[in-house]
Amino acid sequence: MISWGPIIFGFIFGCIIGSRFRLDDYFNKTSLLVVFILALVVAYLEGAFPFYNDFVFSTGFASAAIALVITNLIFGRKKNSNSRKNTD
Amino acid sequence: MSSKDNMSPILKIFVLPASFIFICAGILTILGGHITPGGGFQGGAMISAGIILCLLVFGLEDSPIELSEDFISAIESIGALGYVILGLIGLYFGGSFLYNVGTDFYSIVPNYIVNIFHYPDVTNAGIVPYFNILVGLKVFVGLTAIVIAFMAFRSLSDEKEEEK
Repeated sequence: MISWGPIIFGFIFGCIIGSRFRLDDYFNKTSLLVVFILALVVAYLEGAFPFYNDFVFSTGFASAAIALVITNLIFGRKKNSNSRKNTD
Repeated sequence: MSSKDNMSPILKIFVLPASFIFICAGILTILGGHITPGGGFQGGAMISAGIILCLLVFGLEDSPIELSEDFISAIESIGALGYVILGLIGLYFGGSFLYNVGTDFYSIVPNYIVNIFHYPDVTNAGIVPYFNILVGLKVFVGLTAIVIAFMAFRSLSDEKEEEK
């Protein structure tokens, strides 16, 4: 039986926080892919946390990572560091 | 020269992936709070730690995670109001404030209300995970807002000293 709770609410929580991310020189789309793979590895190493046995990996962690990446790609934009200086 | 300019590129490259993992772990701590050690406050503090790490390394203006004033106030309000509303729902249907209408141990709540507020997992936790989620939202923006306020006050005082 699949536990939909951590999948759904992990995704929603990830969307809320991921919408605040901004891509910059040190964190572009390529590094986002690397971090996403790293997050999936961490989710696998966590196991079926917390005590669910529907998947071999942590569904809450993985869905939060997927939501962070998706909202990063949708809302993430390169920051214009000169915009504040120009307005001043 | 401000303190963020002294941060090395290695630290700047490392910090955002680390924050990413911190935030995911915080969300996991919140979502497992009803059956494992952890919960809303602990998970919210972990998420906040990830955001504060970015703020310390990149500074307030250049931080890759931007929390605006409207966002902070909206999430704080959602967390506080959601908690009170869930408590009032328990008061209305169960007769006591914060009654667990998702579990309904005393069988006094209509079935459709129990189905609405039952958390969809194998445990019978009822509305406890929803409380964890709401508290987590409130704590993560609350702790981050404190650090943002301190950093803003510091930059203001630095500007005043430069003017003198």
